[in-house]
Amino acid sequence: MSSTTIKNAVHGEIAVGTVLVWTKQYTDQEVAEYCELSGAPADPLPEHLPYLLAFAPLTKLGGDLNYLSRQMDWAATRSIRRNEAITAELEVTRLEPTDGMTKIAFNARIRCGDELVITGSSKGLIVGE
Amino acid sequence: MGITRTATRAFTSEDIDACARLTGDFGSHHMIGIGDRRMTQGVLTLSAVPLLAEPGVHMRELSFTFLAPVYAGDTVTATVRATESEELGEGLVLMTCQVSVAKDDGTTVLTGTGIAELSRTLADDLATETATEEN
Repeated sequence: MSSTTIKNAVHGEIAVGTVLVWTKQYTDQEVAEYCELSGAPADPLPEHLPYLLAFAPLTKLGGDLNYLSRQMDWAATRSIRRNEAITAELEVTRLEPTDGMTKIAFNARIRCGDELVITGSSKGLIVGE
Repeated sequence: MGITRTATRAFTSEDIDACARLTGDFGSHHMIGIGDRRMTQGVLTLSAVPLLAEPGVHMRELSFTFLAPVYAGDTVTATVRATESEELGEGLVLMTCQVSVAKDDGTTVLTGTGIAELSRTLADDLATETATEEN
């Protein structure tokens, strides 16, 4: 296992095995604004969260790391209702400094309460601090 | 299954700001940029892909490879092409599709595959739209 550790402005020290967590419940206003941004109809509001918005808590954690994705693979068991709170977990599985950047890979999970709804993995680069 | 959906989208700095506010992704390569060019968030680039933003479509699986960055000021064209379909019963269809996104200059910025669950009615509507656009 790699012993590499990096310091992150938001989450502190990060190493292989570190799990970052973020929980979010979108307001109707946020869902409407996201629909507008993506060109989807917002009136009436969709019953379920727009698919990409369901990943946004993971996107937030990636942003905290200045993460640039190269590859991502996801599987979802069901759609997430608009008013559900969703918790993203990002578990670092690889961390490797290279040419002024850091290669990173992680497994990710999105839960609604105790229910695991989305699982996947991604790999790419940390491009800056 | 004769379904192909194509969409063209131009990205602005204001789109990156809005995406950052809604998702919380304030990565420095998005907000400050690399050189003086602000890179779109992956989820913003993906918002150009038809079906992903379609109400009533549940993406069971999705795999993407990002091949090149997209910057504010870029225009991309995203294409989704259904390659297989399977009746699930109860009016539902499982559709396997290929996805590609390219910039105006022809640079492919991402490719991927997905498996979407959608209603037979919506699948028929999409097939009809495809046939109309091809004629």
